[in-house]
Amino acid sequence: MARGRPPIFLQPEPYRRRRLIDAARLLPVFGTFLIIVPCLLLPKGLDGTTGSLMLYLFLVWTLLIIFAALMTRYIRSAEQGGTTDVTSVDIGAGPPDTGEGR
Amino acid sequence: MLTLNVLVAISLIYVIALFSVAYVAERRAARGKAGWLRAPMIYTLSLSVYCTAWTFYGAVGYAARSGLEFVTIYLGPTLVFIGWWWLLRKLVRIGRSQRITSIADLISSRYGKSNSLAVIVTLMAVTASTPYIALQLQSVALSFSVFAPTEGAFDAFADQRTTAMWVAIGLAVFTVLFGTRNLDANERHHGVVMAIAVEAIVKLVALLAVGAFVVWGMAGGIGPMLDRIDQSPVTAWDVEGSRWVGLIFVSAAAVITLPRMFQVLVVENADEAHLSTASWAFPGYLLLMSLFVIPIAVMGLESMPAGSNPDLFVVTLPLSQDQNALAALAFLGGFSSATSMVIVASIALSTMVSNHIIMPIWLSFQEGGASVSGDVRRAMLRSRRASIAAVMTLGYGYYALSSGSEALAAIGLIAFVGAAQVLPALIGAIFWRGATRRGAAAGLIAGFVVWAYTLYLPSFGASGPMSGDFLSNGPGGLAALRPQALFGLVGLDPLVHALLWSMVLNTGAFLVVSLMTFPSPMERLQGAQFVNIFEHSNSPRSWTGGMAEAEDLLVMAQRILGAREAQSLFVSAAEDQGKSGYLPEPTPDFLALLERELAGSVGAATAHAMISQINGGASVSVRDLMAVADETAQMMEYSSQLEAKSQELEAIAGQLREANEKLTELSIQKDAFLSQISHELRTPMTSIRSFSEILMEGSLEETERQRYSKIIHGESIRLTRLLDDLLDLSVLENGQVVLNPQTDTLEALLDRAVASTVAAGQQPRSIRILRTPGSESITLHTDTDRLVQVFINIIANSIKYCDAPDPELRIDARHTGDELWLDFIDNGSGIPARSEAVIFEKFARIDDQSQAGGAGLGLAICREIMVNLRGSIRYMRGYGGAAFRVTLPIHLSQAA
Repeated sequence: MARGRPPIFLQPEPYRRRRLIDAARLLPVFGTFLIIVPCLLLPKGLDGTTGSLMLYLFLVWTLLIIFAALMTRYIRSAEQGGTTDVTSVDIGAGPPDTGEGR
Repeated sequence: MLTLNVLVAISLIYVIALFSVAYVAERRAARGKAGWLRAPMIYTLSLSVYCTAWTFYGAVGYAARSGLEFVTIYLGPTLVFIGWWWLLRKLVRIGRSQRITSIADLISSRYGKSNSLAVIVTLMAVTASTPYIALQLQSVALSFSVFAPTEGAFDAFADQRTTAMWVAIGLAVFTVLFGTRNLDANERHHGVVMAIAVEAIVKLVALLAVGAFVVWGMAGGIGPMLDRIDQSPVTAWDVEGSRWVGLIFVSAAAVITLPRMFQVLVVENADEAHLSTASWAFPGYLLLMSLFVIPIAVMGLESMPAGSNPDLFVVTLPLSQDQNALAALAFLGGFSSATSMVIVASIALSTMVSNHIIMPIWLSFQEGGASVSGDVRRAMLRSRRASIAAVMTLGYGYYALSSGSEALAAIGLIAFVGAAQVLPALIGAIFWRGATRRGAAAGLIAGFVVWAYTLYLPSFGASGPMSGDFLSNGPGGLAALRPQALFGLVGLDPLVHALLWSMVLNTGAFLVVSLMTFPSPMERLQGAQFVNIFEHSNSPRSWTGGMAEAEDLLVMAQRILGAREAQSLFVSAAEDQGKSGYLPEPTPDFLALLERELAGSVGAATAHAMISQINGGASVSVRDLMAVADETAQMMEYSSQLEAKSQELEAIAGQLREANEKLTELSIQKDAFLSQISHELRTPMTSIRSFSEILMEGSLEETERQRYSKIIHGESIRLTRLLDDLLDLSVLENGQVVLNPQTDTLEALLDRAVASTVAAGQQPRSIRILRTPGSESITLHTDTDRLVQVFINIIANSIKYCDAPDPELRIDARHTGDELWLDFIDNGSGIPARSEAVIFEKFARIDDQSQAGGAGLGLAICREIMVNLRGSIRYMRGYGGAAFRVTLPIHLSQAA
């Protein structure tokens, strides 16, 4: 019953899953960079920039959403591949909701 | 032209539809058919309460004034949601496992279930949200006024105020009906969530429809639209970098810490998996919401008469093109945005106000605590409803007093910055175990004060609590304390200035005070629970039991959870404890369970207070903490013991296997022994029988008869000797032999042995025995008769088997260390190597020479004797002939 220490080296599947989670964690970092940096570098008061900047921002935004969706799907399918990760073992969650009003 | 009456009718129909949706959803949930009500998309849509009327109408106005800056309000939440692995996942897990009811409850629960912290957060939330609610009411009233005839005898604002009042009353009724139907254990409101999801779709469709109409109906496509943007007044990028970053940060913080967002994000979350869908779907929703904001703003600026309110472009633009249906849809969109925000905000605020302010006060007035008569449950619901009415009244009062001034428009961002003050305490709560209650309180108060001083109060303008002189010169002329240039930091945008100072001082106070103070045991327990939420499997032992009576607890639980639920909870707990009745023992475990159930209804701090009233205030102590730590240590020790046990078992199993093999071998040996012994017995018996038969026939010569009798006699003696040997061996082998210790010298013993072999003689052969008398003068104290028996056996064997033409036997005695070595070495050819292993076995005879006359038990008996005398006998190779070494422990031999 002793859960012991998590293993130091993982099987390929949990390893892949962890790297996917790493990627998911990195996504907002890239996003922040892409959203903030160009806007800081852009010269102010230059006519005609709003339209192109708008296109740029919406493009970045769309890509972020697509990557987030893909990442979620990959992680979920990796989870269903069996092997539960130590960090995601569901413990301590509340009792199942019966949906009944009280 | 769309008349006001038609619009009122549309609104009423829409409101009735919303009521029905909420009602149906509530009914389905009550009947356990929640199924699709808990779909991840419903969750995602309910998150859209983020988009209030301020974003629905205000975003276009914002864009018309400052171009692309409005998009920061959506980019911040996008980053938070696609980064859900960092923060939201943990937050939702904590919210679910700790039964969190509001953001104030989360902060209070984490920092040792402190109600004072909850009160601070609640007050902050109410202060920041009230103007925000007022803003929603204003936007609905304003959008109504668009459709009202502008000329008329009525005072325009009075009209708007009436509208706002009715909207406020309607929303209060809706919220009371669906927000306080029950004290749901997890504070989930299916009807409300469903209605909000519908409203989310309405506002998205409305905005997209207006946007599509503007781009394709008015501008003539995407290309011409982009051209128009390039020619519009907002074409130039004109955003301060600090403002860009600051707004993204503050909106990212607000999407977590705004009370209404926390409500839908954490409290109403039905399934953690929904969050993974929302992580991309909600940013998608935000993207669609902001897609057409710039085009609508550009087109509004271009085609609407100068001086018209850009905040209302979404409605006035279709109206100016005589698109009445579209205008009505846009109006409904704005209406939806406003109402959904007000509903959720008032539910969230009323939960906080009721749980953390009204109930503790009410409880303190109840002498004897929650176990006295009086229905706590009803009181809870009443206080919740009263709180909703109060929140709504505050919002409306604020709106009425501020006279619908332009100042309200800025309140959205001001509220965001106010809500963001909870962020340091929140982040510390779930990532840093060192965060303490005092630190959190210091940070919250510092942030709140700085926010109020630098942003909130100045926002009222010179007519507000801060005079123009105060604003420009600071209090009493102290320039360093100028609200919008604190400590001489001038030239910064007021919002960024307030954000910077409030966050810096808030975080600084939080960190420094946390580092300096020491947390209480309860704080440390809760801290460990929150920070390591993914590793902890059970709730902490927070109660030292004994004081509470189960009946009292049941009485109290019934009042809060309702009779049926409380009783079933108690019965199942009793079953778990293995008790047959309906009242469980008030063990610490049960008290913790009950507290968590109650916390779902009244919040952690109140639940803790209620149980501690009944339990006599016995709460967690350092000793309990140690017990928790001990428990872990015991678990680890237990598991290592188990491991050791299993190793031991494995070793025992191995021994058993060996023993089994030995037994099998012994069984084979026994069979061999039995067949040997029957063979040995049969040979003399056969000759005895046949010779006695001859004798019985009679008529024999005297000499013959004598000869036959002699043979029979000899065989009987042989048989007797065999049986004697067998008996002797069995006694020796079983260790049942009784030793008869005597004292004698080795020399004497050897003399006896030699004499008896010679005497027993009539030996066909003789042997010369060589001895070194000097070395034999050792006194022995042992069973000398047995020892002599061994010597005789060895000497007799030599006599029998030594095949040298001139046989001689050398007997050497010496003692090394504590052992006596006695070597018997003859000059024969010795024992063949292949037979060495068996000579000490029973019935082992090297050849078939019957001259031996024995049964082959001699050496076996010798070995057993020596074992019994604590010595040994070995055959030695390489000494020329047959060489036996007898060893005897000397301390035993000299014991005399």
